[in-house]
Amino acid sequence: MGGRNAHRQASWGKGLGVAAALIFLVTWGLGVIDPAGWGASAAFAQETTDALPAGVVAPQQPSEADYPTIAGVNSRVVVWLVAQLHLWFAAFVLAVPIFVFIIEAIGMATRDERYDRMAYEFIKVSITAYSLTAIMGGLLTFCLVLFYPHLFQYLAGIFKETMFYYALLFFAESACLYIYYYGWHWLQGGFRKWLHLTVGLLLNAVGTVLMFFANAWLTFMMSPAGVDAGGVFTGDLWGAVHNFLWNPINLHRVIANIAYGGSIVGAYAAYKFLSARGSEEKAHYDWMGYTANLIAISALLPLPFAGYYLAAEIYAYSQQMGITLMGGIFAWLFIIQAVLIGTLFLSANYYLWCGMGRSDGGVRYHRWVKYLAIVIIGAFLVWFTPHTLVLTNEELKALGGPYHKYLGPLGIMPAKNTAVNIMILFTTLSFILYRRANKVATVSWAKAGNAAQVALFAAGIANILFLGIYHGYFTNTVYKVASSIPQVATTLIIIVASTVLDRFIYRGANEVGPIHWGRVPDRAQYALFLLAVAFTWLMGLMGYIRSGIRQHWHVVGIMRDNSADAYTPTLGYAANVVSIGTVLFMAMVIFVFWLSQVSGTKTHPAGYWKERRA
Amino acid sequence: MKTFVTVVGFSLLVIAFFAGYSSFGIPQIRPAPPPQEEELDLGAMGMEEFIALGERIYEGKGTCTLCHNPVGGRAPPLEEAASVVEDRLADPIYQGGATDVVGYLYESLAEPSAYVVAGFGKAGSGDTVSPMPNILTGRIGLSEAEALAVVAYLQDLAGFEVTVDIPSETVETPEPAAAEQRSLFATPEDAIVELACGGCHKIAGEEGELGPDLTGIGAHKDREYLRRAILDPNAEIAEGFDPEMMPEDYGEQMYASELEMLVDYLAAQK
Amino acid sequence: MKNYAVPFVLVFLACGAGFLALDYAVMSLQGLSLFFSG
Repeated sequence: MGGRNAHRQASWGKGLGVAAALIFLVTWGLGVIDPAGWGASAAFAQETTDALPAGVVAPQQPSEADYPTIAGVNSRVVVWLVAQLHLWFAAFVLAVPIFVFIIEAIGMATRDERYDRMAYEFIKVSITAYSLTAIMGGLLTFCLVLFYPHLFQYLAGIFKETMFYYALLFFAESACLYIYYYGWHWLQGGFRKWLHLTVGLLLNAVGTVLMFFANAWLTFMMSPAGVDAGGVFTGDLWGAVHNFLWNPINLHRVIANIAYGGSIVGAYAAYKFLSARGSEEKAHYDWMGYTANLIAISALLPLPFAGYYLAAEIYAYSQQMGITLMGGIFAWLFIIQAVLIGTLFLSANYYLWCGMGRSDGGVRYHRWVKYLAIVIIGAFLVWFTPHTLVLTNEELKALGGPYHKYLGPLGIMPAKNTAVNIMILFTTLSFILYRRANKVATVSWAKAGNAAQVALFAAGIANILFLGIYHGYFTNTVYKVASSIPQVATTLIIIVASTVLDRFIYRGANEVGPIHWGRVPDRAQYALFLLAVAFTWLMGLMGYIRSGIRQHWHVVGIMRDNSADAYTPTLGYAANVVSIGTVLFMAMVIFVFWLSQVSGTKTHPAGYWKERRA
Repeated sequence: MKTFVTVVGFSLLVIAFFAGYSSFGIPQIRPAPPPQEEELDLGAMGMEEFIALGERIYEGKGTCTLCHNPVGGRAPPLEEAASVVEDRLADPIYQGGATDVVGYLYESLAEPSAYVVAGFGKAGSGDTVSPMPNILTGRIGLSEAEALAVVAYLQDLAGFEVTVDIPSETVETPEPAAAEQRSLFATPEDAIVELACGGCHKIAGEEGELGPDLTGIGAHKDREYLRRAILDPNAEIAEGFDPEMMPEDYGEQMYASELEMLVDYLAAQK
Repeated sequence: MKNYAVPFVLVFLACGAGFLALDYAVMSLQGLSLFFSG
């Protein structure tokens, strides 16, 4: 009887969960799909036009003297650091619920409690981070109001409704997060578990909406819409929100957040692994680190394409901005980016190669590792080669032009696209080999299946090379750019097809050597630290590029930056600020991790408390 | 504790590597400072100085060389820009209203899409829309005097005699000229030609295909409909045609008597 | 050896053709041909 009740409740729960999923998808979809065709934008604009106050929202152009100075600090650096710190924490607290939700769901599907416990441990780490995110956000708002009052007044005039709802939504976010975390052990089993999962889904939905709101404000500063040429607000709030770069940033940030969150949690697990006592603890944190790395890599694979899409949209919006970004003064920043992304891929792959040793069967694949390494390093070097060299006149004469005769051609976009696609494919290969390490296929067609896998990769690589070399060097600019799309498609198809094929090949496979969680060298953990640090630094760099491309504008083409710091700094200076930010962030994260640990520590002070008569 | 120190040390080393590479491993480009409004003493300038001003703007504030350079191939080279104007003006794809070299060059700064060089149009626009922004507004925002200086420079660059008049003082960007008082259309056919109805409609000997055929329209549409169709085209769209195609401002381009004359004419087409 | 070579060649040719078809389709969607002509 109790069983039937529980079953009915579980069904209710499932229904609720499905309904919540639909709500989430619809809310998210509304953000991504243009609702103009649904009449929503007209309704939105109508609402705000009717409510338009007598005062007109227009930018005031402050002179240099109008920018307040407080306590002698450099206002630009302060806002830069605070904004970046806020972003790092926000990315983390948005990402963790995504994969906690997924891991909890996997736990529910497999009824393996280890997943549930790991999910709980992940969300525990993010609770303190949540407070820090809010603190940084509040500090950022203060700094903007104090240091850039005219800009803030203009933006608030346009976005006042969104800012208001943004603030209110934090009630919902907090409610969801605290119920999700504090109610974890209470909401267990049957219907309650479904309810708990639904709360997790809502947490993700609210967090994503919050991010989309904030994304509207910053993308408006880059690609303003809903205002006329003089910056006067037309009343079209949806137009201002749904500006050119809004959706590219939305997509890029959702994917990047997941990758980033995975890397931070991986660093946490790596640290706990290194300080673990006993093989069981080591095994637990090894598994955690592997899962976190898996999440980071899975999101890392499509990330270059999201970034390329973002850059392409910047280019389509303003050719001038696009060229400054990739061919002008910001071009060298992308070489730094290439070094960082190469680090990320090498680090993630290295971790996988070390991990193959967890199973005795992994030795079979050791000999292939060096070839994977050679290709990935080679692709990285191509990616890292610049096209145009910034040279003095003497150097120009000596070289005979602004490019290197042989290496120069490797610097153009088609070569780089080819390189990154190859890097991604070979990372997929590393992963496939890792997954095979402890298994032997038992299906009768295993040999043919292997041949098919190799053929799939070979054909795909040949296609990528064809597209990159033929269209890259024997056609014109339009073809060069257009050919990157089938390249991406090829890579994505291979990732999906090879993963599916391998599942079939290894159906009912024999475990040739069980996976010994915990049996992994310490240097593998340093690969995880490298991943986290490089990711953080890279995010800081990209944040600088995105913001810096506005150059001497607060709102591009509409509101000029007339402060003393309006100049675009040198790359070294920018890198130094990013580095300082990274150190500050790491310090705060260490604090966060320490807190999550210390809450479980008890001290029994002898003789401190009064003796109580029994 | 040892683990903590090692991990922190490792992380700091990694950060130092990235910072060091950014400062010492790549060239430190110092970007140009934000453009300042240059005080132009136009009265004191000779043609040499004016051309030099144009060159400074071309390489600096105007950011022309960002796109117009042989390296990236994103925009047509401008060294011979002044020489090709004649051909451009005669080219059927030319959409602008200039009549001479100076006019064309100035117009290409304000309305770059008036002529889009083959292969340089925005992707997907079939070379009809230029990716170049209006240089007189927005991010670059050259004043009229600065724009004329650039034109002078371009003329000089191609080896021509500069025919630009140095403006006598910094001229404000002129307000869009109010519609001048013009004489009334004498006949409905005049109105149809001047208002370019034939560009979209079959009427009065014109063969436009984008809008409904107006020959014989008077047989099945009354004057109310015809008047409204001219003044508020989107109120009712003819079957098989798209909305938002016909301009909605014809009411501002005609005198009331001309409107009535047109309506009479259309009503008489049976 | 034959067990390997035959499926390899078959899948390679099939995938190759498939990818070329993909290239052609995606380039056409962007208004371009697969091969550049002047």
